Amino acid sequence: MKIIRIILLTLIIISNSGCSYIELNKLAIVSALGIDYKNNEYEITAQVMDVTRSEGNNVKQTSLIYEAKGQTIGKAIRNLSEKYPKTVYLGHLEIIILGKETAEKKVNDVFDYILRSPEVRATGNVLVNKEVTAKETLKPQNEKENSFATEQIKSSLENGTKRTGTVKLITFEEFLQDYLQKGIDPVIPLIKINKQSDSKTSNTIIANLAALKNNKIQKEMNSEESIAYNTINGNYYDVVITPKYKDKIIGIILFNPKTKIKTELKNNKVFTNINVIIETKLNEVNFKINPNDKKTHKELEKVIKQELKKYITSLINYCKETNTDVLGIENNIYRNNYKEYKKYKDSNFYENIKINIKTKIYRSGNTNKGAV
Amino acid sequence: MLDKIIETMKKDFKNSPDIIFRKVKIKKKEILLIYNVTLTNSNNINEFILEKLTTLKKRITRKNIYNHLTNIIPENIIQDVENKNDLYTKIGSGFTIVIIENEKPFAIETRQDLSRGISEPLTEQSISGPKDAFTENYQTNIGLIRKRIKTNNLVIKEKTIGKQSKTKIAIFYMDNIIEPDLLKDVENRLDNIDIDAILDSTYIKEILEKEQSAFPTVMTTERPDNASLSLLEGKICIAAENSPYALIIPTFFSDLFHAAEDNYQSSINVTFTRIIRYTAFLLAIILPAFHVAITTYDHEAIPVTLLINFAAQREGVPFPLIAEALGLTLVFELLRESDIRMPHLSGTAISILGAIVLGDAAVAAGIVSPIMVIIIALSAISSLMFSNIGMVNAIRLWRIIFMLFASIAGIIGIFFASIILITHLSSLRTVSKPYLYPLIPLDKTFLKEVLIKNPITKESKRMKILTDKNYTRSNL
Amino acid sequence: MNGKISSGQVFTTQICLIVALFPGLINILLLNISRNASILSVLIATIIGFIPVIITAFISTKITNKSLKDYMIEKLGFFGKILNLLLIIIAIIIIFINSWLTVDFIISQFLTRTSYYLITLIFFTITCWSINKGIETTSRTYFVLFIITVIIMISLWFCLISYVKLDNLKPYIDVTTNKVVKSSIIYLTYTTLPIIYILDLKHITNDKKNFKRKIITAYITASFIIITFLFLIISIYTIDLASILTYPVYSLFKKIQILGFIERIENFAAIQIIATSYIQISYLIYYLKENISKTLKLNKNKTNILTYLIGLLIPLISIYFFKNNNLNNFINILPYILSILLPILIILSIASIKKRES
Repeated sequence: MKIIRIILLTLIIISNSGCSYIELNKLAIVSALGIDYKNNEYEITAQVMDVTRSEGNNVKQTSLIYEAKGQTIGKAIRNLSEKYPKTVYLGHLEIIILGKETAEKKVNDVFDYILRSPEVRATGNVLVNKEVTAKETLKPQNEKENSFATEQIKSSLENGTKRTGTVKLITFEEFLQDYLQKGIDPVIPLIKINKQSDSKTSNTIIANLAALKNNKIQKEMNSEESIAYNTINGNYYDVVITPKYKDKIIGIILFNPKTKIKTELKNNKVFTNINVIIETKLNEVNFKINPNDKKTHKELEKVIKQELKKYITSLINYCKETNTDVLGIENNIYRNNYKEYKKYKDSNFYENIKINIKTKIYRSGNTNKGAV
Repeated sequence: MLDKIIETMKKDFKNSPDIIFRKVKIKKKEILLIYNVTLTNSNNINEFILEKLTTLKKRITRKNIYNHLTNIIPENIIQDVENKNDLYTKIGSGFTIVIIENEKPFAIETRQDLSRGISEPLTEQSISGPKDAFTENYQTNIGLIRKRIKTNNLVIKEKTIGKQSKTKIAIFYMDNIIEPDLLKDVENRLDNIDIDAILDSTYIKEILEKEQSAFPTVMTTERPDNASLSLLEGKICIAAENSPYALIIPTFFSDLFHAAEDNYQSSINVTFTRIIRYTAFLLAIILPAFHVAITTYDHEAIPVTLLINFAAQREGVPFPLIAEALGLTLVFELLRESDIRMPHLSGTAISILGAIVLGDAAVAAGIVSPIMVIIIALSAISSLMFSNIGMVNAIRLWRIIFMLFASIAGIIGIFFASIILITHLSSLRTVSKPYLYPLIPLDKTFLKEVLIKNPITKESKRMKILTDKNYTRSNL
Repeated sequence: MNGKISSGQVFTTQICLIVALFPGLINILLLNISRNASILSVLIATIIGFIPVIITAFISTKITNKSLKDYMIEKLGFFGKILNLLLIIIAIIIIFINSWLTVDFIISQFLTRTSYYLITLIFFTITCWSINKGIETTSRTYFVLFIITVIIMISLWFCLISYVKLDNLKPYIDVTTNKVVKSSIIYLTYTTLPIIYILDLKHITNDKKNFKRKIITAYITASFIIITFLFLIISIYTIDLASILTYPVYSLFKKIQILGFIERIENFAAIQIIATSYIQISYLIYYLKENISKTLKLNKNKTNILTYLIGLLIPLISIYFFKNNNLNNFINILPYILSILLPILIILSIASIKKRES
């Protein structure tokens, strides 16, 4: 009896393994995906990680680039199989690059696909190239590199968020959260190709943010606006800014920003207070100062405040100009004053904004006086 | 008259050459000695019987010869022989039968020690703690336990089981701790045994393990200290003649994770080791299945760098992953089995063959992927952490079951297999007690003790499931 | 017959009876109807739910050594038989829904290319096999599984705490009162009322005194689990994203990163979702099997076959049915069907009081 049962079990196994069963070496692992929209068709550029085992057990990893077209994104991805013999697998997709046209017209299609597919993980990053197509972005930029460096891009995104403050490491999911919420316009980091004039080589760089409104990527922010955005959202770890003090440039490190946005509703108008509390320390001073001196200290703080205020005002101007709400002031009203939200829904949120910055320099580096 | 006896007995023993009949004549009275030459010590026979007969010749008269012999012979075990069957059993256990004309026959113990001396335990080795182990000698085994527990509360009940072998079996228990129901249950089961021969205590083990399971529900031990400790917990020990292993009843699942060593080490270290043992158990059972699952179904679970690495290693391997895994498991089992059977001298050859030929060369030839070798080796090593051979074999069986399920349905398959495993374990009983105690039924104080070993000063209570009196172990 | 099951096992079985439908069905219903106010509506439902729970606890004190079915027949005679039939039908319906939900969850998230029927066959063969080992064994299995589940669950909660943004909970009430009431009624019918089935365990527990207390504590614990999950979903995902996801609880697990390198653990975490469903389905199949086999007075062999018959037929039909009909079309009717349990409870409790007086 037991033997019969065991035989039955093995029979079931033998006859049925192979349904969802895919060996690892039969997968085409896509690490980056570029999506372009041209002539009412999607053009997919996929970077496939291809591994081969050469003699002596050396693993050789190469990245290959394949393209395919289709009426929808999913169809186009399936069409990739015509060119590459393995099963296309998106479980480890890390970067999605939206080309120029997609960014302008079809952003929500992309996110619908990502959200719907059980395979694609929502922890990958989205980047937008506003200038050229995604296909061009993904192509190897010079002869030395043989592929688009997904890992490098990812780590420079992370560094950019934490250390320069000009971009934001944003996953599909976080993006969707902002995208779906009432009264907040999401931002998206941009990717650029920096063509050098002297030769054929060029660099891929990630720089700055842009807001998305009505499924359309808006104008690019400059780096100051990006820093302001990240300061308000508390995204970075430490960032260097270079304000002028007594007509000379000094280096200041900002870190640990904490911001609260408070809205008040009065007389059909929205009054907003942006309260920033930020810690700072001296990074570079090229002339003699005494930071322990009370007066200098205050002056320095004042300079930092002014600089930050300038950044934030610039960001507010950006919002006014593009008519976006990246700071989520409308959302703030919706969450905190739900009852009066409807009344103020269409008012101008960026009219009356007060910026309060509190900062304290509590470190001047390893020297008290400076070498100069 | 004695000649007649000799004749019938020779017939009964079918002229076996090892049965010796010796006739002595004293004061015109014939005395017949019958013994088995292989089981008896000839020195004893010479010294205690023949020599006494000659030296005491003067005092012996025809009439008092029986009394004289039974009273004066300086041998401590002298028994009456009741009937023929008894006589044969006695000869088989190394007695010398003395038959005096017209008198009742009696038996004198002249046993020869056929077993080896007390040696170190072979399967349950330990670094600290006592180093004596049970031997094939029944009396020695009883002595080894008795010398550890000197109170008169230690009861030893003797039974004879086996129609042909007539093996003596000793049941040890502490009278003031044991739960009477448990004892009754075990005794009932032993009484109902109807078998030709008990050649080893494992025979009894198999009979007591009613439910069929790969997991051992009765533990064997060769360490008298282990046996004594179990007795003090309220368990029963069974020792059989000619067997160097004693049985511990009941054995809970958690007991399999305890080693003899645990009692002689500092409690913090033991706790750590136990956590490692539980991890090893999980690794041994689940790891290969897990590898199969994540590399063939749930690719999302592998980090990117590992994914590329695994994929590269699979490149060029001709078999499906599950075949590779099962094949390597088979290879490992072959190695283990041949290593156990081989004499120690040629054992090195096997290790070299196993390590170099089957491991390294197979990888180099591209038949198996290196990661698979690592996975199977890791799980095999983990399973060998357990000294109980039953446990090791059970792990082997379940490892394969898990692997098969993983190959049908990935991680969900592992979940299905774990439901089966948990159901199986919770359906088991050791004698009449639930196997998964103290998890089920939940006993919070001892659940802690499964994982954490308390210092001896804090082990003040006995398990409630094993005793309904005398909870307190110590008052410190 | 007496003393097979400890009170801990009753406790875990009951929690799973309540929680099982939550990750697959109820959370989406609640989030879509009452949005941010879901937590509030569950809280309200929990408080109202104490009424049926206390009634159940009261009835449990009256049952001593009879199964639920025998007790009903003793108290109500022929009418009790009808009520028993109703209980059987509702149990079948719950199995019907939950087996589809569980299998669909497995297929859609893990084994996308595998046949529904194959997974159903394997899953429910194992379930029936374990049921045939006896309630003593299965309830122990529930207990062990539940302990594993709780360990996974609590560690997940700890991992998820760092993602919580309390701001996302605001505004606390963003729907009309009607909707809050509606969702709490739905919650009540799906989760609280099925605990009537736990009464069938009373006559085989060894800790009869604590049974009443266990029912209430299990109810509170289960509500706590559900509220915690709702809290995590809303505060981490924001209601707008959460309400468009099919499996918000499962999606939450995808976010988890431990120490920066242990990520992608959602596949293992999902086991707790399946485990609770398994326990609920398995227990209800046991209930059906016991009930039917005792009515028909079957011997042991036939009972075993009956288990396989019930345990395989209902899920297979359910798979066939829901593959052709969308579950969403039936969601509106289900609360009405399940709410039949409430009058049954009340009738039973009245009957219990009456007999004592006479």
